[in-house]
Amino acid sequence: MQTTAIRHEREPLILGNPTLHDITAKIAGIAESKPNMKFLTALGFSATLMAWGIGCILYTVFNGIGVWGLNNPIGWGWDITNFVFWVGIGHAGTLISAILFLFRQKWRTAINRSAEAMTIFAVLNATTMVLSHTGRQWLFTWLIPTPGNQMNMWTNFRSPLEWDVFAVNTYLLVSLMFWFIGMVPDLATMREYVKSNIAKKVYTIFSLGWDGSMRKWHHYEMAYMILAGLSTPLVLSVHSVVSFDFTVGILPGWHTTIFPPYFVAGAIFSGFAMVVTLLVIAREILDLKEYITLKHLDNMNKIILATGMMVGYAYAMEMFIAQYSGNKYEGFVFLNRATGDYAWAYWTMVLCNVISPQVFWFAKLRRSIPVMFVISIFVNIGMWFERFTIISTSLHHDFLPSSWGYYSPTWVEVSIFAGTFGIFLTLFLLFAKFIPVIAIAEVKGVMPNAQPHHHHDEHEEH
Amino acid sequence: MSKYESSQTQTYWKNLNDLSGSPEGVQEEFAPGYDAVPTFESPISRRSFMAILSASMAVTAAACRRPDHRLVPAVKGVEYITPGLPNYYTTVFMHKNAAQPILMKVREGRPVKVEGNDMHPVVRGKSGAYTQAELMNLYDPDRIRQTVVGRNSSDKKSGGFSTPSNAITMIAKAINEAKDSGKETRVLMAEHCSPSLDALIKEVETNNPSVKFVTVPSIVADGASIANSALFGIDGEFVPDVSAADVIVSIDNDFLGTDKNSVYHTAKFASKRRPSKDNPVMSKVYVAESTYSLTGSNADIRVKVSPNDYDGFVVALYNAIASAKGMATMSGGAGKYNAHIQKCAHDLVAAGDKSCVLVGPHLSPFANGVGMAINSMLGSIGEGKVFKNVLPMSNAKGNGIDTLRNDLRSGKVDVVLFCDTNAEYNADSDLKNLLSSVKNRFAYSLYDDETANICSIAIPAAHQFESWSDAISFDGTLSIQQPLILPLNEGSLSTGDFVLTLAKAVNPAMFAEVPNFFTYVKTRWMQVVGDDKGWEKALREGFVTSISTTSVGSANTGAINGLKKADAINSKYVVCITPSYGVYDGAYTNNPWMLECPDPITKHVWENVALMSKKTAEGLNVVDNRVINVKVGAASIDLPVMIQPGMEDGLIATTLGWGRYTGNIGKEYGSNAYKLSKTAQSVGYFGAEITDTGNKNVVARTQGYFHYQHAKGTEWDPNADESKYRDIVRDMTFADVQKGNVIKKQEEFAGKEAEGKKHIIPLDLNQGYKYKGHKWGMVIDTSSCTGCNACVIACQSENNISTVGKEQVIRGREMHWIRLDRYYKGEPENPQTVVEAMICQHCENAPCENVCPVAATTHSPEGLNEMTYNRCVGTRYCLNNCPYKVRRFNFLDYRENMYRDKMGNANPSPLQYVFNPEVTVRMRGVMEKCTFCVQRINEAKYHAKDNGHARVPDGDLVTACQQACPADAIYFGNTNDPESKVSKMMNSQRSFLVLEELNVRPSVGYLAKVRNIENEHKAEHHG
Repeated sequence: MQTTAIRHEREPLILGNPTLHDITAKIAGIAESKPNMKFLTALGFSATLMAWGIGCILYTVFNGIGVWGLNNPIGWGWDITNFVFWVGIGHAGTLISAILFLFRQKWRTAINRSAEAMTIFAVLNATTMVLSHTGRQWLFTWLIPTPGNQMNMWTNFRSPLEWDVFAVNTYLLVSLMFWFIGMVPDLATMREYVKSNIAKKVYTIFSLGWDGSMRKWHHYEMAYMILAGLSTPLVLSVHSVVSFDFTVGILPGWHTTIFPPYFVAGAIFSGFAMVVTLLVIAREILDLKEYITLKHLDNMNKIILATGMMVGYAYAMEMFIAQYSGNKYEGFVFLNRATGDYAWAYWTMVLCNVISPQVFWFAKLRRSIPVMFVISIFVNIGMWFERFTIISTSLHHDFLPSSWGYYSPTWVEVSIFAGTFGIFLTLFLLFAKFIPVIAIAEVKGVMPNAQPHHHHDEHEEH
Repeated sequence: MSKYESSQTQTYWKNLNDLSGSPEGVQEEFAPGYDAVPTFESPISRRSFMAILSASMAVTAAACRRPDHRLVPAVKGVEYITPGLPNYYTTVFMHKNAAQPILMKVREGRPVKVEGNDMHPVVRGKSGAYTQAELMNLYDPDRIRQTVVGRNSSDKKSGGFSTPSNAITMIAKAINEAKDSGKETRVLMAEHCSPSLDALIKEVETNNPSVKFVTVPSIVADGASIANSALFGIDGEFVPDVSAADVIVSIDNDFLGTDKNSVYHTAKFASKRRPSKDNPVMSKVYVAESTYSLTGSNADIRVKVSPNDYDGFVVALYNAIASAKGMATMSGGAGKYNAHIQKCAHDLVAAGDKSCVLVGPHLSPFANGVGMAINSMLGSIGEGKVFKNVLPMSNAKGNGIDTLRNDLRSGKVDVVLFCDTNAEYNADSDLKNLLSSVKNRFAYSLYDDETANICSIAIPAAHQFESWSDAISFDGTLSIQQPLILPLNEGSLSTGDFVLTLAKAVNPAMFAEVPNFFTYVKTRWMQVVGDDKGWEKALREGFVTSISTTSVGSANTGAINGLKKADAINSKYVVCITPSYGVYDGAYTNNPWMLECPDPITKHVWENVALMSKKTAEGLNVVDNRVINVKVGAASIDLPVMIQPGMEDGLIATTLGWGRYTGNIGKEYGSNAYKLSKTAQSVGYFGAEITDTGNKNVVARTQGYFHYQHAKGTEWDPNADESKYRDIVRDMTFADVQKGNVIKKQEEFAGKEAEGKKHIIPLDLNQGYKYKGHKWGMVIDTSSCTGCNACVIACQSENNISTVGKEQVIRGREMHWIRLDRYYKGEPENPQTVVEAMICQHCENAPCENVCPVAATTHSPEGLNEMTYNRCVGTRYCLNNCPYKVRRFNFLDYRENMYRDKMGNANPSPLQYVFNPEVTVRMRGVMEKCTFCVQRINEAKYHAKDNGHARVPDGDLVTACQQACPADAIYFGNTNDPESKVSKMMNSQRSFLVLEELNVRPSVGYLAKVRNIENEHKAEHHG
């Protein structure tokens, strides 16, 4: 059969041909083993970074946004740049989990768990940024539409920031559910595997009485597919809504119809780059080379190449339209991006996002761990600068030249940004330690020995 | 710290009743235990609240009685204190020797807002930035709070506290001891224009031959007075009425800026700067100057003159006019400026007696004399002409100062008394040395300033708002200064009371029948006002018309040749020293409003800088913010460089009033330029040596971070593509106006995106909303606006706007609700300027409103864009989306400056009493912006309702900025009423909307700048 032929030509998704027990022992064993020095060092470093960042957020809360570098023309700087950056990072998780699941891309199984975890942690960071950026952070509940409190007023449903509240929270909740539901069989495995009583109790609670019966599997599969279906539109909606923060504004450089698709492409681009960064590290530290193979990474690099060119196209197109439209404000802002005070940021963005992924045209480079690691870091830097360019260069020179200004961050903003990495890494390391970092049940399903009849491979998961 | 510590044990905030220290039997204003404003030491308990409540019954009977004298409220408003309602009192503020009649808004016994006296014939309700800011000086916590005696000149913290009467006894003893040993006493007075104080001083001098009063003004420029006494026998400066002139030629005379009467001049000037087709009247203004002054920025034609050429320039102008009139010419004219001079002379001759030549009083007596000779030749002197009024007490001061110097040098002076003068700060080093060698030095001073610090006795002076006195305006109108509050600091005496008390102590036989200066003043004017009723009327209206007149005879032009010419300056660099547009002579250096009031031209704040042309900077190899050393003679100061277009090459301009070392707010900002000048000539041009120190001092500026902003809106490039220009300011020529040309109302947006549409953004969230009642709107005339900053400070005072400090301004966080945008046009060597006051535009289709997630900024049914402070969470989205960038965010808790000292301790500072109780004080994290003075709108609506009107009658409602604006450049009112003034202006020939193509539909319209130049005329350029 043709499918068989293709299957034979493809690389296996799991290397080393482990038995089912090998897999359980390998993945679940991570939680049982004593943390090694590498792990503890990493955790210590990231937890310190997290504490420092949270300390700086508290410093901001107690002293005011004035401890940042923002000023009168430039109301948003690193804060919202970081917010959009982290929401963007959070895109790959759901894309890998939900869309690739619906498209039956089996290579996702090894990476979907960590990608989803990354999504949740990234969105938590985004929420942190958005909550800490307001002038009176303690009033954050006013952003939530609840009748009867806060002066008997509703929120302003016309504000894109309000849409953000809904979009990001929905995304966070659905991603969390999706992640958790997908984890239930594995948590049951853990429950059986761990020896400590406390751990057993915790896993028992979270495995929701899973007993592996056919009935449970049936419900599980249904729930998982429904959540995948729910998540899919969110992948597109969240970043579209985030882009509305800018497109609804009338600022030249913000008020652009290209933003929703451009932001979604950029989000997937940065999300995949972050997944590559993390997986390259994780397969090294946690010794998961058999499970997270070069094939997985190769596939992701292809997506990075494709989405990188999409954002490159968007850069070129917005520059062209700005000049072609004859709108002098727009034309000026875009020229100013490339030649003005923030030209260094613009060209960093172009170099990192458009030029650097071009190396992935070559299979050899696409499969080179050092190359992809460096490129993924470049893309992350570039995508951060993309948001910075959009936000700050549009604000610093807008309509009336008399009000123009310049913005550079203070140590507090830099610390908070570093702190979000601390939060992210700390949560990720704790996740890698206590939760099966690879979806055990799913991986077992894609092993060659799980599918003795090749012609059934379309249905084996059901 | 020690000052605060000591002060906290003091009740510096005084109850209205008990200051004068005595008045037994006088009816109490309030029941015992109740202070008009609660003191910190006695928080009101429930019991005392009940007591106050019951006391309020008594208040109605005993209301509005000052303890020692009855104050008479203005015609305006309620007569008696009603809690929650303001009272208005007239008084007068002496800005040096220029009287500024004012109307003070007083709430619960506390002055809260300065307004010009609208009944006064000269000021017509207008007030300048200095007068507005004087309120802050009143509440300045750094004023002397207690009399200090026995202070050692080397240690300002030495000495002990005493009472003023003790201190005055000690001073009198010293004066009498000096007299007995054959020595004399000198009292150094500041400039004033109080006829009663002058008379008192003369009386004291006559009776005490050993005591002489010397006026030592902080700013001395005698050129005009010397010339006028030679030509007319009038030892004083003319106060020209520029509205009587069709052609105004200013030769380095900054009459719109640093002149003491700039408020008056601005009003008169502006009256001929707002032409329309129906009213085709416009003056033509030539300005010849070296630095770029506020007056120069308002010129139609500006000529750059080298500082050495002023005498020659005036002579050349004289000759040009003389030859046109067939009269004898003089020798020595400068030929360099011939093209301009011919044109200028032609216009002057054509205008005849409706013209004037104003020569800066700091220029040589000769130049001033020739200038007045030109005016005489043109016929512009006399009744009904430009020159008819003389500034009171503006006689030449230099001789008196020189005599003082000689007397001190001869050693015959044993006692020197500084009567609210700060010689230690603003005298030259020679005079300072002479003064410091005098045996006894005493100070009577508002501030514990540099001079008070080196005196053995320092007595707190009462502020003018706490004093009885009088003042005479240049038109002969007398105003009575009545106190609006009892002195905040215990024992403070007004200048008159101090001199009187001292005279009595020196010689108990004198003034036995005069209990206080109030009696002295009242008795003095009794025959003028007639009776007590007349006196009350004078207080109620704030003035008595024309008690004196000056008649000006014809000019004795022959006397010109005897006048002193300017000394030639031979050095490569010349430093030009002028008063500061912010802190003036240093009187406002502890006043945060004025410290942070942007210079109208350069927009820098919080210090003085070295302004120079780009070429000069290149010659010195320095850039912006580089610190240079300016050396004149042996003295030198360090100043940061600021490159300014329009400056004469080789000229470095800086301002006085900075570099103080007392006053907790303003000390150590800038450098003391008094060191470079002489006490008898503190402003003008001085040869200087410049060296580059290699240091850097970043200057805070509120505009112009990015080079100079050209009118087209991008960086200055005269060759740039015209299509990229931004039409945010518009100008037209007078000829255009006369022809009836109309400013294009709806800018057709050129570009494919806007094809077939009027706007870049056609969407509209509230299309077609109809306003049923009021719809508030404003129109700002960029043609009559001179950029004087009066509105900025008035707004700050009215709306409790925070100041933020130099560092925060560098960060770009100034809070002013009014931003006077300054744009240049033409060549950088000599540009033209437009000032466009930018405030919240209260857009109909406001981009800020729909983006706020918590609906903290919303539209009112009367067209106001309202900001709900307590709803604001501070996302700053509205700020980002505001195309005018007029929203101001409280990045830090700036109001804390008012409540806490630098150590963060609660600081019961009187500064917080400067707040307007009708406006919320904003906390950090909250957005704010212009409200169109919504508190005034509501007040006007209540009044209209009380009077049975459905709408506020046009003209009954003025915003704070409009109220202050001397140029009447602001129109405000109901645009729903087609007959209102603002509606008419909104639809007039010159009106336009800024950024109209964005479809935000602003409620603020602008009127185009008109220049009285020929149509084909390019920017005047001197080369």
